[in-house]
Amino acid sequence: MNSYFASVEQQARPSLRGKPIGVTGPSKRSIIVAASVEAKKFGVKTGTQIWEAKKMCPQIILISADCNRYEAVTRLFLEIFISKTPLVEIFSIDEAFLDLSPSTALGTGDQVRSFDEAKVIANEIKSEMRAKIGRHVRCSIGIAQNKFMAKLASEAKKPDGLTVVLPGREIEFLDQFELTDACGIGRRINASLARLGINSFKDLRQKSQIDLTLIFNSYGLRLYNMARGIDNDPIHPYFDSPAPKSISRSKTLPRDTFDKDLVNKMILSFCQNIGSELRSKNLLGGSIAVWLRYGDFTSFGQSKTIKSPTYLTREIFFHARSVLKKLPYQKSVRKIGVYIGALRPANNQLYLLDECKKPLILDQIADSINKKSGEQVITRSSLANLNFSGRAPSYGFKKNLFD
Amino acid sequence: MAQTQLNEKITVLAKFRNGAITPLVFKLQDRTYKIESIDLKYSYREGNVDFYSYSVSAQGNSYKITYNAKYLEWKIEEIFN
Repeated sequence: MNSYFASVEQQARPSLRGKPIGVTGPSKRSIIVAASVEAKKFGVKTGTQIWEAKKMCPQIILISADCNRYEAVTRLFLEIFISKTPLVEIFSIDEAFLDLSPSTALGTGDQVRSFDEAKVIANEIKSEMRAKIGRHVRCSIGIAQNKFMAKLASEAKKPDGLTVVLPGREIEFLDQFELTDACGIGRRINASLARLGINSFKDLRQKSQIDLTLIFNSYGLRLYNMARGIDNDPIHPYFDSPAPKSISRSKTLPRDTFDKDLVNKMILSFCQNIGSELRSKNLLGGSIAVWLRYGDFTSFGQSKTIKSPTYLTREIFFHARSVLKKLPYQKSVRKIGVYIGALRPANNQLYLLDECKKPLILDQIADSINKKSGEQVITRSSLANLNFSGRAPSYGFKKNLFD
Repeated sequence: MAQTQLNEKITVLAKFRNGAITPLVFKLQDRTYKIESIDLKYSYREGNVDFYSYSVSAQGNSYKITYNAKYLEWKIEEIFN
């Protein structure tokens, strides 16, 4: 989707159309999470600090994000995609891959057999989106033989683009782009490549697979393939999503703080939320990390292994607090994050002792009530007055949109 | 431009046809607003409650009104002018 959150806001409010707008988190100290096409002309983009955005574009209009709205609109366009093919992979809140190739595995013999047919479907998708969502929420579509090339093709023309890369034309198409335009080559990898004198896909093709593997380990093969427009990763359909590898929560505070009690409460709230998600997915967490970003924008984090993987809120919090104690506290805290990894199936975890059963039962009762109400109506008493001022985009996009 | 968040019950005249709800007029604080356009509409679920949300234009301003299908009530959630 093109400037997704911003375009949804412009669709919802005619007075914003054609104007530079920036969608922000609920806090005045958050960043721009999406900039409209008009704001991007001034250099404003995702990640720009609000004060910077105002400097670049004094006339920018700032709008608080409405996550319910964006998720609901995402469901609308995903429904359109699924009506074309069941093989839809939800890549993010505003991106998806569709497999339109003939597939005997699913017996869907009526899928397209040519790029021309795929183009027809792409235009149908645009037309249906205009009708069901509105003409101000636009998308750019890329059509190619694999996901890597299709994604790159979708970046070629914005907004409202439709770009086809025919088989055999991948390298010619690829060579128009910078390395960092490719999904999978970020600043760090680009810097590493630059140190090797690799500044383009053409340069990258000069390196052998062995050379790249020696330098980048298993990622070397991926880089080798990228340089040739090759990608063997299949579509992972939305109905068959793999289990997550980690779950995290983070939040920028409305004001920098030295208040350890507030930081503890924030972490407890994250642990409560993470615990609930783990239990809903029947997963245990085997490692935990806590990190703090300070008022001077430096960060510090620590992690530890959880010897007995768990999904109980109180145990997750116990481990989070033990990590937090190791973090320096001389500077004011701006942002807090908790990450739980090494996830594994719970396999009907049994607690034999009553002192362990009771917290699980309480957690499960709270989960059940909160799920029915759709809000955090049951919470720890120490969190009763904690106000998040609205759900921030940093809480993450729920990929289980069809649950 | 000002964005005002609200959570106030309103009275709405709506059309229910072909499985869709179309709000036509709403009343807020003794003033009646004829909806000139529905700019965005979507539904979502919170817990076991379905909500139908509409961003509408009336008299030069934008409003977000939402229908709670469990309690059969409308609320105005936002005024943008």
